[in-house]
Amino acid sequence: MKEKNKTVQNIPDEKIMENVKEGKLSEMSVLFERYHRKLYNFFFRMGLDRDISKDLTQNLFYRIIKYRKTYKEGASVKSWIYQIARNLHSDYRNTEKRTGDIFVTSSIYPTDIAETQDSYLEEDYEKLDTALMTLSDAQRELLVLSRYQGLKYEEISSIVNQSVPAIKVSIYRAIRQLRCVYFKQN
Amino acid sequence: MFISNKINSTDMKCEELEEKIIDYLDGKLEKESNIEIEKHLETCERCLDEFRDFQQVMKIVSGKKEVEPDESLRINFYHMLHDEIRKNRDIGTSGVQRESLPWYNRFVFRIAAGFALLICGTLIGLLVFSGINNSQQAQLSQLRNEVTALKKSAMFTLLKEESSSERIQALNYADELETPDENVIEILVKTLNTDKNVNVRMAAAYALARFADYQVVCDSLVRSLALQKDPILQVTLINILVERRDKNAIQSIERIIEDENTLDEVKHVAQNGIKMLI
Repeated sequence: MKEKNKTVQNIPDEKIMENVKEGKLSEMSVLFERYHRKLYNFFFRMGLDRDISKDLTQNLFYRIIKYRKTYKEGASVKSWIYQIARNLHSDYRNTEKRTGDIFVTSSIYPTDIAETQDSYLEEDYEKLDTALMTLSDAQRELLVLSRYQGLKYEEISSIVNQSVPAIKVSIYRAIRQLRCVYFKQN
Repeated sequence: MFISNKINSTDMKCEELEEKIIDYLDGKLEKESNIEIEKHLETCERCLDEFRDFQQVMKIVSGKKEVEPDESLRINFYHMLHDEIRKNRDIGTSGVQRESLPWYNRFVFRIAAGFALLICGTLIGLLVFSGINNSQQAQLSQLRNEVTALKKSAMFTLLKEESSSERIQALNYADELETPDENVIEILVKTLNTDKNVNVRMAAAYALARFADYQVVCDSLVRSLALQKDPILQVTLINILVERRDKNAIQSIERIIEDENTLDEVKHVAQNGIKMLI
């Protein structure tokens, strides 16, 4: 019984995407089931609210279907999907800027923060969120990709078009900044 | 403090620790590097401080759970996918295949022309006789009935075709029917349960979904869920039934969850579905 599961689950993303490209659109549902949760969380952790995260996730799958012919066979589907996710995010931020509708910014800092406790509670996470908002989009993006999305440095490298050492340094700096903001709040 | 760093870190400099601290905390380093780092931390208070803070920040970062999108994301996606499949199919049938299957096309064309004439007739009727007396109304409704009958017969004929795109075309006609009769429902259910092509089965599922207000239809969707082995159809049917809030579906959905052969992704959809139904 497990074998059956395996055969279906083992079909690589790339094979599925090639089928989609050839017109077997219904196979998109497999990619949707594999990625939608992660992508929703990507937008959410980048600081967008739930509704917008949902819209952008939906939009992303629409783009994949619409531009399926531009998928280069053999290219990593994961990287491709995350590249589209980044574009959608920055497009969204740009329109936001243009319309002057400033979204989540440092102005949502909680005014008073409860004292730290030994176990990690809501407040710790809130404090972390606050600290996360002080990062630049680029820094936050790297942190989200590597920490929340669990991508390997090599994968991130092909998505953001930077070398692995450069990414490591940026992540180090991002965490150091988090640390400063986080512990200053005490 | 700065001086003491310099003196103590003969083996490893503070900057080196900076490079390695994340990999160390992730447990990605070789044994020797680990020992080197631990040695350095024993002698350098500043790094040890930084190390502790890093450890805590990273613990909180990775302790953050994923958030769950609500079910509407999935439902919207499947609607969108269905629309795209249909659009794609329309391009397919009106384009390339026209040349390869001339006879069908003449056939399809004739049906289309029939529709066009009848619809024109209906419209002209509506325009000219909008003053309306009873007999004219009767005429109009008769025309409408004729259109419906034509659609139905086109559907039954096309469903027998070998090519799956013809069969999907047939299901598009079913979509245009306002009220289904028993025969229509019967053939749609049969297509949903027995057609060899998954896209045709999916189109049948969506055609039936439109009539899901009828209890018969809902019941047959529930029964079909128990039969379907294809993950895409399982997900589609679960979504349709959950959207309808059909509590009768709970048992079938639970059986899918218990089935060892069910894909994890489908199980996930099924579990979310159950949550919404209970």
